[in-house]
Amino acid sequence: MIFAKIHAEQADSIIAQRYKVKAFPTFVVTESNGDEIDRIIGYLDPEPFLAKVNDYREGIGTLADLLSKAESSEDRNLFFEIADKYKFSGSSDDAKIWFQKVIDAGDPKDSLSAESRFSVADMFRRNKDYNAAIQEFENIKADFAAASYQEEADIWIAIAYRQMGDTTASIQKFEEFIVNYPESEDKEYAENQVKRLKGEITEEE
Amino acid sequence: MRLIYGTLITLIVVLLAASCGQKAEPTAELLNGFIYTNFADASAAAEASGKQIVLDFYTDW
Repeated sequence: MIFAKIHAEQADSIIAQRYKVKAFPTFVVTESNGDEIDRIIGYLDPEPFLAKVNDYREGIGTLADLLSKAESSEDRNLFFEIADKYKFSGSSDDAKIWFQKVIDAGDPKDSLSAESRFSVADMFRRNKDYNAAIQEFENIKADFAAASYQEEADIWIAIAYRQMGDTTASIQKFEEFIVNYPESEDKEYAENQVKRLKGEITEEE
Repeated sequence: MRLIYGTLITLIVVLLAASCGQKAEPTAELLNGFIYTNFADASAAAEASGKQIVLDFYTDW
């Protein structure tokens, strides 16, 4: 097994683009010719990390393996796992299809459906389709009354406005968030965002 | 001399892994002690040996 640490924004940035890496850290397991076997998103402790890499090398838990299992299954968690793999490998269209399967195979108002809807909205945001992302977060707010979903959607709406460069709307949404969710663990983040967007503090502070 | 060289390589691997925020244990075990720091070298080594690759993509932020 060969191991390489690849800086995604320096000399090997084109390699990161080739493998459609959109989150960090991402560990891509490949054949010797560079063909992807599968990937791990985020840090794992050494033992589970090695176990997962070794599973992938044997074809266990890979996208191909999960797709094969899904042929004779109605397991929504399996569908979600497949959708997530497509999402983080940059295959947004396939990811949307499988997130929709999660919703269609169960209660469209349960937590797994909500999580699927959030994932689709997050894909729009990551793909810089901010209007679509904001619209989907608004749709989630309309469809899921629980306070936790309202809060999560609202902070992402504020972030999406900031990322699309609409400073006025972003400040407004962050300020609304601070008022509406005074107990939120994201309140301090929102307050800092308002100060930064108003130019009261710089990036480094 | 060989012992000193081996110890030095291990130390470099551990320091490199630690400095990049990556846990040293899995990398050292996976590679038996070597981490490539660019894709071209890793790819060439993999093609020559027929070994699979783990690419750890990271950024500074």
